This record gives sequence, C-alpha cells and structure tokens, in this order.
Amino acid sequence: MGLIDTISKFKLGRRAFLKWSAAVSALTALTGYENELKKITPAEAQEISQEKGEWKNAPCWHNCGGRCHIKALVSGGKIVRLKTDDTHPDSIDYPQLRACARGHAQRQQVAGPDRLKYPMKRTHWTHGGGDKSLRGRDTWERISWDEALDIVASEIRESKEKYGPKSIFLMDENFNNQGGEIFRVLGLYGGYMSKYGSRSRGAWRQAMRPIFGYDRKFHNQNDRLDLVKAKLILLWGSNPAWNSYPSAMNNLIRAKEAGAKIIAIDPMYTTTASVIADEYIPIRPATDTPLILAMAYVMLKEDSPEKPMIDWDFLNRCTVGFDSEHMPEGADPKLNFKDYVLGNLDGLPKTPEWASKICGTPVDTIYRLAREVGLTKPVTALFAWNSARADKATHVCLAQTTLAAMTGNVGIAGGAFSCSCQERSTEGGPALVAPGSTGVKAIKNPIPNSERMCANEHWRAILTGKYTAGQGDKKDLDVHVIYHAHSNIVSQTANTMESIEAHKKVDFIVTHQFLLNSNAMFSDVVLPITTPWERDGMVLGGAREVIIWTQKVIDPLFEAKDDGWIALELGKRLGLDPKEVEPVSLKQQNFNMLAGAKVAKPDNSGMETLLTITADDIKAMGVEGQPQQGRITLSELREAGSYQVPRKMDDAFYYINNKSFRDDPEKNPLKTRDGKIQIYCGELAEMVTKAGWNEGHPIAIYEPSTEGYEATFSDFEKGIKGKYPLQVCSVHVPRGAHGNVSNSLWLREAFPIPLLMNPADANSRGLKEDDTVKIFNDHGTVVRRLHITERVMPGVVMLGEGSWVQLNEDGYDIGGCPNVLTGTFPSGPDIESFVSIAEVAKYDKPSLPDALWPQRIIF
Amino acid sequence: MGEKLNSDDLKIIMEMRQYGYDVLKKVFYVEPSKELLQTMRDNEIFEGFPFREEGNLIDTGINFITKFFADKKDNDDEMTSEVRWDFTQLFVGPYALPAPPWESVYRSNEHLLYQDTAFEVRKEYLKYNFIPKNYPHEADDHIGFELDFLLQLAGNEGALKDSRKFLNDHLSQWVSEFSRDIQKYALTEFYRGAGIILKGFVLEDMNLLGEILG
Repeated sequence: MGLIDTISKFKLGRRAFLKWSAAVSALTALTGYENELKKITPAEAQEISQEKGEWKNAPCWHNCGGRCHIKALVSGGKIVRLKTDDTHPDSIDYPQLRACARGHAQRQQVAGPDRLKYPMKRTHWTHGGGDKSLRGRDTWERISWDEALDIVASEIRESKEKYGPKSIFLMDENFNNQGGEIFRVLGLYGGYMSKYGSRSRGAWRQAMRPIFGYDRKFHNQNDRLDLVKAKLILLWGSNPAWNSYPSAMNNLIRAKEAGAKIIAIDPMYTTTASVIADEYIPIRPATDTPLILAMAYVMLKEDSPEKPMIDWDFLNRCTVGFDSEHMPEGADPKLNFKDYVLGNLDGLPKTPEWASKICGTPVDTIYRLAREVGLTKPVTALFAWNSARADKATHVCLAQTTLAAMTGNVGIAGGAFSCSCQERSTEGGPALVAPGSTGVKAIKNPIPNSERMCANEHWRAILTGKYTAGQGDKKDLDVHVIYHAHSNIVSQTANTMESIEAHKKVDFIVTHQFLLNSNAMFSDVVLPITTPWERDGMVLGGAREVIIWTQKVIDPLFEAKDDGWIALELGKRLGLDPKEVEPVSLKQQNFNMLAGAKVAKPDNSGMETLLTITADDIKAMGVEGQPQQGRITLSELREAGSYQVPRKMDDAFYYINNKSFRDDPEKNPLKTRDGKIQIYCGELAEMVTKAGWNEGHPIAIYEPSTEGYEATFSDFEKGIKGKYPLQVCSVHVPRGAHGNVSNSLWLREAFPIPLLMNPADANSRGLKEDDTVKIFNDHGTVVRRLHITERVMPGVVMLGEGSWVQLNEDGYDIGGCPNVLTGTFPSGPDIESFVSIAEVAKYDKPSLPDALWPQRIIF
Repeated sequence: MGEKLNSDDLKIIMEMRQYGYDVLKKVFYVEPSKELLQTMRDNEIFEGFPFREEGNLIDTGINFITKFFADKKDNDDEMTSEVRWDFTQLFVGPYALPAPPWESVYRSNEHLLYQDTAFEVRKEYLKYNFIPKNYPHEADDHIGFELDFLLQLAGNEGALKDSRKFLNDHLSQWVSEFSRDIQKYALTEFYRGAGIILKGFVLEDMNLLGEILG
C-alpha cells in the first residue's frame, strides 16, 4: 500500500484516534510503576551522559569461605566487566587471591533477569493464610512497598497479640559481621522463636570445646606454611579443588612438591585427589569412626620399641581416658578407649576385618594405612566437617582426636589432626589482620535461650507443636508466622519435604531476598533486597591473612532496598524507636570496622592499627569519627580493595597450634574439665544426654547413623539388602556456595549436577549415561540426570548440594535438592543429620540439562 | 523523500504514529487497569489501529483482541484479572519469565539486564532530555521505555530520522523474537494479539519512515 493510500485510509479512521486521545486523558490513575520516560533539563542530561567508568571492589559475599578479589568496572550504573586480584605479583608465599567461576558469575546474579525487583504478594494469600496449599505454585501480584510493609507489620502485630511472641519463627543472621536487622526489630517488639544448632559443622562445633578446649573455625590446624613440613598428609573427606578458594590447593601442592605423601580418604575419587593424591582410599559415608578405631587397633597390636607407632609420652602427659591408668576423676576405669578398641568392653575387637564390613575400605588397606600413619612422623590430617554431619556423630570428633593424640600429631611442626574448611581451609593460626567491630550492640531476644528450637528438628516441631527443650522435656509450640530475613533454609536444612509441609501450615510467611530462592518460593510476601554490591559497603574478615573492603558498586536495582531500611520501616509501623532499630547506619558500621581494623606487628609481638584515616576521609565518607594513624592509608585500602599480610617461609607469623600445651600441659592447660585432651569426655556425654534426644558416650563408641550404611540392609549380619540399598552422599560442588549462585545459567552450563553412580550399580539397574532417574526414599524423590563413573564407590551415589527445591506435578523435586532425601533425626548436643539412603530407578519423564531450564523470574 | 507530502499529510502521519505507539506503550508499560481495558474495548481503539490491512499482522492481532473483548464482555473483573495475571506471568514472573521485556536480554550474549543496549538507548533518550522515570533503578531498554521514546519522537516533526535510527538500531532488532515469545507463552488472546500487533506495527512504521525519508 502506498504512502498516500495509508494516509487517506487513516484519515477516515481518525475518529478512533480522537476518541483514544480523549479517553486516555480521562484515565488519570497511575500506579507509579509505569515504565515510561520523564523529561529532564539539558543540564541534567549532560551530567548523566558524562558518567565515567571506575573500578570498584566487588568481592563475593557468600559463604563458600573464599576471600577472593573481584573488581568491577562500572560505568553509568552498568557493570562493564570484572577482574580479579592484580594488587601484587603472585607468589606462593604471598599469593594473589583469585576468584573462581562462582565469583565471576556474581554479575549474572546481581543483574540477571531473575532478580526480585518489586515487592510481591501471593495472589491467594489473605489474612489467616488463604489457600495455603498454593504456596510454592501460586500466582503473584506486584504490590507497593507501603502495602507490603503494612501487611508484614500487621501480621506480626496480630500474631504476637493473639498467640504470643513465640508464634513468630525468625530466621535471621549476623553474617560477615553485619546483618541481623530483623533480630533487632522483633527483639524490641517483644521477642521471637529462634533456632540454635550446628548445621555445616556437624558435631565438631560443640564437641571440640569439651574434648579439646576450643570452638573456632581454624580448629587444630597449624600455619599453612607448615604443611611443607608434613611427611604425610591425609585428606579426609576434603576436596578443596571444588570448594575452597583461593589458596588451599596451592598450599597442598607446595607440600607435595616438598615431598609430602598425600592420601585421600573419601567415598569419591575427588578432583583434589586426582590432582595431588599419591593414593586414594575409598570409605563409605558416615563410617569414619570404624576406620579410625581399626587403625587404632592395628597400632595397639603392632606398636613396639623397635617400630614405635604410639606416642605414649604424649598420651600419658597430655590426655585422659586412653587407658585404665589415665582416667579422669570419677570415671569408671573400665570405660577407657584402649579397652573398647581391643574388645575388652563389649567382646568385639575393633579389627580391620570388623571395620571393613562397615566402612568398605579393604582390610589390607586398613592395615597398611594404620602402619603408614603410625610410622610416619609427622602427619597432618585434614578432615572436612562432613564426617561428623550425621546423627550421633560426636564419636567422630572423639575418635579423630584420639588418633591424633595416639600418634602424637599435636603441637609439632608438620603434625596436626584438624578440620580444614571454609575460610580456614588449610589455614591455622590466629588472624593476622581483622576488622574492628561494627559498634552495634545486639538486642537480646526477650525469649530466653532455653526456649529456642534446635535446627535439627525445627520443621517437625512446627508441624507437631512440640519441641525438645532438654532431657525428658518437650515444650509446646504454636508458630503462626515464619519470617525469613536470611539464608535459604527450605532447601539447605535436613528434611526439605517436612520443611515445605511446615511452610504450608502457618498463616503468614515473609522473605527478604534478591532472588526467588526456596524460602521466597514458599512465602506469601517477598521483599526485594539489595545485594551487597548495591549497599554502603562491607568489610570481610574471617581468613587469616586478608581483609577485603567493598564500597557500593552500583545503585540499587529496581525497587530493591537494604534490610536496614526494611527494619526501620517495620519499626515505624510497630511503634519502635528508630534509634534502637538502627543505632548505627550501615555506612557508619563500615567505617567503625575499618577504623577498628588491626594488623599483626611485623615481629608478631601484638596487633597494631591498620589504617591511617584523616579528617578529610571522615568527611568524604559522611561519617563520624576521629583521625587516626595506622600502617596504610584509607585510600590505599580503597585502591587495592584489600589488605593482605605478606608472608614468607619461616617468617614471624609461622604458627604451630598447641605447642605450649604439649610442652607443658600443667602450665598451659586446655579449656577442658581437667585441662588435658579428653579422650574420655564426660562433659560431652552429659551435654549430649541432657540435650534430650540420645544418650551420650564419653569415649569414641561407634554408633551408626539412623540412615547410615547399616540401614541399607534389612538384615546387616546376614548381608540382606533392604528397600533402599544405596547411600546418598551430598557434596559441595563448584557450581554453588550452599544455596547461592547455583541458579546462574553460566555456572549451570559449566557445572552440571548429575547424580554420580558407580557402573556396577547402574548396570544392575539397567541404567545408562544421561538417563533421567529418580532417587527416592520414604522422605521424598529427587529427579536428576545420571552420570556413571568409577570415581564413586559402589553402593554410594553422590549428589551436589545447593540446588533449590522445585516440585513437579508428581511431587518430585526436579531441582536436585539432596535434602528432599534427608530425614529428621535429631541428636545431641545439636546435630542435624545430612546422611540418607535411597533407591534409584529410571524416571519416565526425561529432564533437560539444568542450563537449559528457564530461570525463576518474578518481579 | 519518496512521495510528496503536504503539511496536512505530515500531521496525519504524526497522529498515526502517536496513536500506534501510545496504545502499545499503555499495553506494555505496566499491568493494564480495568479502566484502560474498558476504554480500549468501549471505544473500539484497536479497530481503528493504523496500518491495519486485511490479513496483515496487525489485522491478525486485532482479531485476537476483538475476540477476547467479545468473550469477556459481561465480566470486566475477570477480563481485568486475566490480563493482569498474563502481564505478570509474561513480563513480571513468577517461576520463569517467558518473555523478558528488555532488549539486552535478547541481544546480549549473556542474556543479562543492564547490558550495552540499555546504555545505548539511554544515550538516545538523553539527546532529547528524557530519562526513565525511576532512573537508574530500571533497565533503560524495557519495552515500555522504547515505545514511550518513539511516542515522544512521533510528536516531534524534526525527529523522523532519529525515529528511524532508533527503530533500526534497537526495537526492530528484538521485536520479532520478543513477539514470538509473547505469542508462544501468552495465556490470553489479549496479549497474544498485542504481541502480534507490536511486531506488525514496528515493521509497518519502518516501511513508512523508509518511504518518507527515502
């Protein structure tokens, strides 16, 4: 049609245009959400168009434990590209802290289309809950911040007034020294139900204080530069190549190059093992104690003056409970470790033959390993927390400590038995640089600690209305509101299916999030929060040798707000004093952490102030403070993004843990009941028993987990397998950090998370590579694609953790969340159990690789 | 200029283009209100849409919308809630966003927000002293902003060339894929139709500007 025709035709239809113009001008009700333009002045336009690119510090904020550099080139609100550590030349003593793929994918997380952009309400939620069964699959509506905050405030108010403050279950956390804003709001408003318990650290967190006198993340490790002095390194369930950045692998490679033999003990031949191990020894999940007991048995049988394996001097001077002659006061002398191992207690010697049946490690391998560990000096054993992340696993902590003490690998160069995880993977020793405090005083929850729920049973407690408050003490509970101000615990806690049921029971659920993670998915109102890249800074500590400072990288995207702003707005609606809700602004908190930062003096004789801060710096930051003198200037820190303590071999910061204790235990006692290592630990046994779930034992008596290897049999003695013959082992994978970043499509493409299965198990089930399979047990069903590999032990399947649960029409989780398969098996003192058993079969609905899935996107 | 235009003709052309872009903008820049839908239906706004030719894309799209309005004529609330949920699920969420309404998601290799195109269109807006209403909290290349920009230029006689450039460089580069996704995933005939009209109108407008500007 020609132009003239078009025009003529439109002239005839012009009536419609005039009607439209008239009608539209009558439509005045705007929501404020319209994506339209506004007119600005030429001067304003000029200013915006001149915004220039600038490198800003944009490190990961997640809990993988890595403390790595990322810098973002930002121009006009756009993140143009990222780079990692180029602050100094790389050397093995003083390494660059380079980010992994997860770090580089942060850009996709911050600016991905799946960001939560606006407050949203579940369409069928009404006061009282509406149709609660729709949680997780309902439709949503965008609402204003005012409406969202009004709803949250009125639900809190009503729940408190009608059912009391314990009817509000709050998940919040102080993380990276910051956060916990909603703790303050609800603490000031009368209190809340909170949780306690060990999650990642299993039994290690509580057990090591009564056994060894400490509760700290670096556990028992020596300095990272001490690894080169070890003759033998055991990597016990430890796979830093997948989950510990930036420098754990470097430290281990260096030790190997210095001549250490490295043995990996794991249900899977890990990437770490394939890179550096001289030997790989298979072990079934949650059967570490039988292997250790059998090693102790071999040492006890074979130790001789000609071939000494046991450090009797250390045992006699520094421990109690190893044999009947060295028992703590009041303990039954029969109940000693040596007699238990030799079978004098229960008629069952803990031989390699006995252990092998349970742990799956071949008998001759156990003998060989025991002799090698006994005869080699010194030995460093690096355990991951996973070994004690199973119910009743306090025996792992006792057994591991006992083996360390028996072999004398305590307080010596190159010798330490320790956990090695997260920020402190391969790094022992007190922090050489650390941020100061935020200056925020915590608000105490008016509900006393004795009335908290343990995380190892909180979903069941909400469902049944009863929680365990101690031995023989079950208390009533009536939760109506769940408030998620942190974390992703629907997927990341044991028994996700029970968690979902609990979420379908209560009247109201609100979540602060920047993505539609599992918590948000099952909520009624989601409040979009800023990522740390959009906030007034953050100071990251936790590692030994570095602190990282980040300023705001970009302005908040869409309607995202800080948690602190949400806290203030809720506080306003609940009649709280804003000065108590937010006594110190985020900006000021960061300044306080910087001003208070300390660094070890060059001769390690103490700590000194890190930063020189001028009056101009204080003014420019818009905070209150006093000028101060320190080692480097604030602008040097800003420019570098971090302060990392330079290291070299045999420098002043070289550190051997427990050396003074070993040298003189009477003068330097541990914080244990009698100052020595408690191989017999009455205090731990009492703690376990008093917690109210199971009976504690003072020595390393092996007790199988409820759904451990033994449970894969209907008759273990006769060797008859049960209906769930496979052990499921969940494992940290390079795709995510717990519940974080696994949603990134880049990472999904780079790191698929299939179910890993041994060919023998696949063949006997007629399964083929890339088959879509269901992994099922009495708790739930997970759907995954299958990868068949000799790297996994027969009888064990491995599933990467961190994926968000996503139920399909059959009620199966296609997201790949391992906790769909874990049950509620609480044990003392506060252990949550992450082991499970299952069967695997082909699933008739094929699934796509994760990278080809649509993202979860909600405004 | 391909064909001679007098000032009256030019005025008509400006009106046509304003009409088209204004209606489309209001369909795509926020969830439509009940009043807007009623206005569109009661005033037969789509029936008079520019460039409609029997059997062309615009005509096809209008037929969907006309049918939708006819089906819902006795139930305005149902009509509104269906359209609003359709907008939300297509462009807002939840669970998966089948038709992300930002140019950069279609055009950047990484399928992200706030990529090059967001900054390129911002530059174009700034030339005319416009900026997204909630700058910098919204990605600048949302379909609503791009349509609004073309609407603003359509009311400016001197901006025909820039309109064509903007269409060439931006909207036309992703409108086909965006329209395809809307057609595939819309739950209502309203948005299925609107998605088709959007693509049809952009193509026709490019032709029109081509004829005028040579």
